[in-house]
Amino acid sequence: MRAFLFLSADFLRANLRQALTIFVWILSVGLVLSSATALWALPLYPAAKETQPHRLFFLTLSPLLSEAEITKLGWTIWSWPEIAWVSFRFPGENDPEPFQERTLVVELAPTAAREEVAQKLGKLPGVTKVTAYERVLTPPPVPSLARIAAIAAFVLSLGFCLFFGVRAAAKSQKLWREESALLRDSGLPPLYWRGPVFFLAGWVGLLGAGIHLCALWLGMRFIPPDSLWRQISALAPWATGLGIPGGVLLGLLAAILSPHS
Amino acid sequence: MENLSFSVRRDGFVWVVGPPGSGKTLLLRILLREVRPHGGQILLLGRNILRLSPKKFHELRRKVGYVSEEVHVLSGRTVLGNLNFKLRALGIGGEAAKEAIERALDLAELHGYEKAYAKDLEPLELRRLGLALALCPDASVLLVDDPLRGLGKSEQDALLSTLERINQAGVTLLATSREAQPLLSRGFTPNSSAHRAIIYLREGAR
Repeated sequence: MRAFLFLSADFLRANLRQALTIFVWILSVGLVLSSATALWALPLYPAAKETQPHRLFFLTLSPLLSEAEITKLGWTIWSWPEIAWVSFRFPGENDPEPFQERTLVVELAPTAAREEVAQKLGKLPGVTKVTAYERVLTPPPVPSLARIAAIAAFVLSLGFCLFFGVRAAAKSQKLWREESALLRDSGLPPLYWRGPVFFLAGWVGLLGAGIHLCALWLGMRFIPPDSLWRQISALAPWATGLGIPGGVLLGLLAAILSPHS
Repeated sequence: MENLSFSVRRDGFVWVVGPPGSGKTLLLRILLREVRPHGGQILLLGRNILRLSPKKFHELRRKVGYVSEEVHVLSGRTVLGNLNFKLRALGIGGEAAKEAIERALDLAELHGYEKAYAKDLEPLELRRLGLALALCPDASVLLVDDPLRGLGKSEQDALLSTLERINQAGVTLLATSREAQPLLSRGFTPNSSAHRAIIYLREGAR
C-alpha cells in the first residue's frame, strides 16, 4: 500500500506539468453530471387539460373572534369529510390573493358539493362572509426545444468528457513513461504502473462530482420556483448520491479507454 | 525458436550470441514470462516458471534483474534518485534501502556518480546505471539484453569488467550479444556447460 501511494504521488507530481489539462478534465466531468441533472430535472408534465381545479372558500372572520376560537373553528371545519384542508391567513397575506381581514382558506374535497358546503360554512358562528374561489394550477409545459437542448448538452458534454479524458489519461501516462518502463523492467505487476493512472482518474471524477455538487447547490439556491428546473430541490439527494459514484466512474472509464503508454 | 535446451550454473556467466532476429531478446522475454512458449519447461532458480501462480512468479521475479536493450532509466533524476525510486516502488526504505543502494553502486562501479543526472551520463555509465537498477534490491540472477551494442572497444572492455565483477559477487548472469569476438578474447568458450560460456543462436526464420 505504501509503495502504491508513493507511486501515485509520484505520478501526480509528474502530472503537475499538465495541470491545466487535468483541470479541464475535472470540469468536463462536472459538466456531464450537471447536464445530466438538468435533463433529469425537466418535468414530464401531464397535459394541461388533465389538471384538476382547486375549489376554495375564503371565510372572512369576525374581528371579535379570539385566537383560540379561530383555532377551534379551523379544526371543526377540517373534521368535515367535504374538506381537503384549512389554512389561516393574516391581513396583508396574498396567497392565493390579497386579504384585508383575518381569513380561513378552505379547500373542498374533489367530490364535495360546493353549494351545500357554502351554506354550512355561512352558518358557522364568527364567519362574516364566504367567498368562493377557484384556482387552476397549470404548470407551464416544458418547451420541446428546452428538452432537445438539454439532451444535446448531455450528449455533447459526455462525448467531450470521454474524448478529452482519454487524451488526458494517455498524456499523463506519457509523462510517466520512463517510470512505467522501469517498473515493467523490474517485473512489477501492472497494478504498479497502471494503478496510478486509475488513482488520478478516480480523483478527477471525485473532484468533477464536487463541481457538480456546487452547481447543484447554486441551482437549489438561485433557480426560481416557477422555472423549468424547479424540481431540482426534490432531485438533490438523488443527484448527490448518484453524482459522486457517477463522476468517479466517468474518470475511470477514460482511464480504461486510454491506450497504454 | 525450437529445440533450445541449455542450463546456466549458479554463479555462471553465459552469453547468448546471434545475429539480429535469432531470438536473443525473445529468449530473455520467455525467461521473464512475458512470452509463453508452446511447450517445454523453464527452470529459474529451481522453479518451473510456467507453472507458478502470478503471485509466486512475482516473488521469484524480484530475484531476477533485467536490463533491456534500451536501458530504461529516469532521465530527469539523479543516479541516487533512480535507485531510490525503484526501491520505494518495491516498498523498501530506511537502512535496507541504503544497503541495497550501496551494494548496487559498488557492483555497478558507479561510486562518484550518485548525484549525476541520468540524462547527463555517458553510454557506459548509463548501462552501469541500468545494471545497478536491475541489481536492486538483491537480484541473484541478471538478464542483460545486448549491453555491448553501440559501445567502443574500451567501453566494451570496461562494461565486461563490470559484468564480471557482478558475476564474481555471486550473481548469475545471462547476457546477449550480436558479436562473439569481445567475449572470446575474455575467456568465454562455446562449451555450454562451462562456467563462462557462449551459446550461439542461428538466424531465425522471418
